[in-house]
Amino acid sequence: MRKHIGLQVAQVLFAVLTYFIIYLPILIIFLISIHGSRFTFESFDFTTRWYTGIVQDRDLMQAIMVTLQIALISTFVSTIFGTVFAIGIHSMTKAMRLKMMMLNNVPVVNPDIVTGIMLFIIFRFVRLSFGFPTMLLAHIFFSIPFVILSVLPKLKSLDPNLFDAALDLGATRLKAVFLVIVPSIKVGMLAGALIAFTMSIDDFIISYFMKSGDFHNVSTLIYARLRRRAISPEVFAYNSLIVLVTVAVMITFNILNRKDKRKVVLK
Amino acid sequence: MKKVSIFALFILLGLSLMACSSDKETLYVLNWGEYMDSDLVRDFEREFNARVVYETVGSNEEMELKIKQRITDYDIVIPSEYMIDKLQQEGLLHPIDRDLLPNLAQIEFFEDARVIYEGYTIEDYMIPYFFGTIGIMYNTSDPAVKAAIETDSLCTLFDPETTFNIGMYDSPRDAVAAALLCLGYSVNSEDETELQEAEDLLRNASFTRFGEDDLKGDVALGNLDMALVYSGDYFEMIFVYEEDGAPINFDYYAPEHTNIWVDGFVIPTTAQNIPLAHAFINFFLDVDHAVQNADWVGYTPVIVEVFNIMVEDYEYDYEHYYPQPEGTTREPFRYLGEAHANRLNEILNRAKLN
Amino acid sequence: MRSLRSLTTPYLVWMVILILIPGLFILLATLSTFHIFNEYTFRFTTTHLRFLSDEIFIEALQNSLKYAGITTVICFLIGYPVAHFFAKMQSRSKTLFVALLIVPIWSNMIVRIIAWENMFKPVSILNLFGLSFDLIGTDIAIVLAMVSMYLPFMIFPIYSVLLKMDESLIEASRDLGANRFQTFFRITFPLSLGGVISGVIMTLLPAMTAFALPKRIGGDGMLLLGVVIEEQIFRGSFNIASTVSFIVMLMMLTAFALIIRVDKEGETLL
Repeated sequence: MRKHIGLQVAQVLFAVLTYFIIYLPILIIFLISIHGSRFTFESFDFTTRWYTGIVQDRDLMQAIMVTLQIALISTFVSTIFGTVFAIGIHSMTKAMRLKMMMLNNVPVVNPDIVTGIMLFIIFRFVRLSFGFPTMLLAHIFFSIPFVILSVLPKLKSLDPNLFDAALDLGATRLKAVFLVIVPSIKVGMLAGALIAFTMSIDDFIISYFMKSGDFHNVSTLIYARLRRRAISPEVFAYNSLIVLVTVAVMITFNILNRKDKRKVVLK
Repeated sequence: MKKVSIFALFILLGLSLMACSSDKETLYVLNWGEYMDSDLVRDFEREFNARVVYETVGSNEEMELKIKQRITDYDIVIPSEYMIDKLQQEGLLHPIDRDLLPNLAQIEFFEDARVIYEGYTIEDYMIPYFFGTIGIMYNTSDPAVKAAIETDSLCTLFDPETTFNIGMYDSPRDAVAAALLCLGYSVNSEDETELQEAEDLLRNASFTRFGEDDLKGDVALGNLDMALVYSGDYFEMIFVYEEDGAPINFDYYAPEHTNIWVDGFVIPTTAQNIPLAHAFINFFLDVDHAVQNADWVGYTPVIVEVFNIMVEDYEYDYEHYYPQPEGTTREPFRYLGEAHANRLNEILNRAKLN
Repeated sequence: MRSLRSLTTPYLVWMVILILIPGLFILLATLSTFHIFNEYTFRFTTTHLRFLSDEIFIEALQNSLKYAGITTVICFLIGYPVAHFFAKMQSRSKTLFVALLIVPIWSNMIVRIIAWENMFKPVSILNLFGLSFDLIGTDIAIVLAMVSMYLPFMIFPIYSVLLKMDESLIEASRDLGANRFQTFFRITFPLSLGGVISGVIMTLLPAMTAFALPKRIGGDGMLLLGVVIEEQIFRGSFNIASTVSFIVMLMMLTAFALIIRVDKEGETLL
C-alpha cells in the first residue's frame, strides 16, 4: 500500500496531542501529590507524606472501601444479569429485540444528571434508605445496559443450533446455557465487566444524588472537601496510585500477550 | 481463581452489611463544613455509647432543604439566626429543654450575641454556638489592596472599573447585605428602590468569580486580591498556614458597621432521639470541650469563659477575634418571609448573569 | 432458543420501574404542582413552563449549546483522525494504545477537574516551571477542560466502527481507480457515520449537562443546563429542576431518533 507521509505525520501528531490533553491533568495531580507544600510553589519540595497520609485519613480510607465495594459488587451483579438479559434479548424476534434495545439504550444516552434525578425520585418515592443500598442499585442500573451492549454482538456470531442441539442431547436449559453459550461469549462478558467497573469507579454525578449523611464514595468525598480550607493532597496521592497501577497492569498484560502469541506461532 | 474472587465478594458484602447494622443509639447531625472538632464527636460517641452520623453542607438554605427532604431525620442542625427564625415559623423546630442542659449553669453567653435572639421567639428553640461578622479578607502582597479597602470599605468589592481580582460569596443574603451596607442601607431592607440599587451595584460589579468556602484559600494563595468572607474564614486560614509553616500574606478587614450573625444548635421536630440531642448540646457547652472545639474551629465562641481562655491561654489576641469591638455597630439578619428570600435569590442570580 | 425469551421479563420490569415511572414523574412535576418532598395540593399548572423564557434558562441554554458545540467540533476534528490512525494501525500494541485512553477515566473525574482548575489559577503548581495562567471563567478554559474530559468518548465509537469495517471495500475502491481522498470521502467516512453520530452524542449531551466542570472552571458564575438543574434541585425548586430535566430528556430523545436511523441496536454506543 502506498503511504502518504504527510498524512501519517499529521495522524501521529494528533495522537500525541490527544494523549497530551487527556494526560495533562493526571500529570498535574501527580506533581501536586509529591510536592511538600500546599501553599508555596516557588521551589519543588519532594515528599511522600501525602502517600503515607492516605492510611491515616479515616474518611478517605472509608470512601475508598465504599468505592471498591460498590464497583466490585455492581460489576459482578451487572455482568451476570446483563448476560442473562442479553441471552433473553437475543432469543427474541427482531421487532421485539429492537424495542427492547431502545429501552436498554436510554440510560446509555441519557445525561447522568437526568438519570441521577430519575433514580433519586423513584428511590425517594419508595422510601429506600439513601446511602449504600441506593448507590449500589444505581451503579447496577447504569452498568447493565453496557454489559448487554458488549455481550449481544458475541451472541450474534454464535450458531443458534448449538443450543437446541444441546437440549436435544438431553442437557437442561441451565446446563445448555453454561456449557454452550457462556464459553463462546466470555470475551464479551469480560469487556462488559471492564466497562461496568470503569463506569462505577469514575461516576460522580449519579453517586452525588445517592449519598446521604456521612456516607461517601471517593468522588462525592472529594467534591464535599472542595468546600474546605485547603484540599488535602492525600486524595491526589490515592488517585496517582490508581493510575500508576492501572498503567503498569496494562503494559504487563500487553507484554504477556505478545509472548503468548509467539508461543502459539512456535507450536 | 474464580472461587476466590466470589469468596472475596461475599466477604466484602458481609463487611458492608456489618457496617450498616449496629444496635447503638444513633444521632444524626447536620453542620457546616469544618465547624466542629471530629475528635470531640468521637469522644461523645464513646461517652454515650452512641453513633454520630455527621453530615456537612455549605449554606443555610441547603440545611433547610435537607431537613424538609427527610432523607435523613436529623437530631441536631446548626443554622444561622435568620434560618432558625424561618424554620421555627414553619413549625419545624422542637423547643429546647433547658433543664436537660446542666452545663448552662456554669457559663455565660456574650451580651452582643444574646441581643440577636433574646426576646424573640427563637430564644426557646436555639442554643448559640459561634458568632461573627462579614467582612473582607485580602491579600497583603500588594499594598494597594489594603489602601483601597481602607478608603472605600465594602464598596471596594463593587467597583465596576476595579483592577483587583475580587471574589464574591455565592450566598444571596450575604452578597446583597454587602451591597446594602456599601449603599448605607439596613441589611434587612425591604424597600424595593433600595434593593434595586443593591441589584445594580452587584450587576455592574466586576467580580473575578463567585465561590463559597473556597474563596478564603484563593485569597491566601494570592489567586484573589480580596473576597467577601465570614470573619472565621480568616482565622481558619491562619491556623492552616501556621500548621504548615507557610508565610501568611493575608489579613481581614471588618467595617465599622456590618452584619453580625450567630449560629445555634436546634432540634428539628423530625428528631428521633431528643434526649441524646440535648446531651450532645450539653457536651459542647462544657467549658473544656468548648475550648478544644473553639481552638479547632477558629471562629469566635459565644461563651465568655471560653473566649477568655482562648485569649489568655491560647494567645488568640487577634485584632478581629471579638466581632463587636467598642465603637462599632452591628446589625443581624431577620427572616422577612418567603417573598423577600426569593427576591434576594433573584438579585444574585441576575448579578451572576453578567 | 425461543425458550430463553422469558429471561427478559425481569429486565423489562426493572427498566419500567427505574426509567418510565420516574420519567412520568418528571413530566408530571413539569406540568403540575406535584412535588416529592413538600406537602402540596395537586393541580395542573403552566407556571413552571414560564421558567423556559426566564433570562437564566436562556443564558444556560445558550452557554450549553455554545460550549458543548465547540467542544464537540474540536473533539471530532481531533478524534476522527486519531480513531482512524489506531484502527488502521498494524502494530500489535494497538489495543494498548486505545486502552491508554481509558486510564484517565479511572482517575476520578472530579480530580481531573480540580487539576484543570489549579492550572488556570495564577498561583499554582505550574509556577514551579515558571508558568502562570489566569483563565478561570474564560471560554478557552472551559473548552480545554471539556475537550480533555470528553475526547475519549468521541474516539471509542468511531474506532470500533472503523475497526469492524470491511477492508475489501476500500481495496475495491482503490482497484477501481479512486485516489485516497475519494476513497475516504466516498467509502470510509459514510460507512463510519454511525460511530460519528454516537461519538457526537456521547460528547455533546454530557458536555451540555455537566455541572461540576462549569462550576469549578467557570468561577461559579457560569450557567449551563446541568448547573441550573443542580442548583434548582438543591434549593428545593423540584418542579423547576424537573422542567429543565424534561427539556434535556427531549434533547436525549431527539438524539435517540438520530441514532436509531443509522444504528438500530445501538452497537456503536460502545
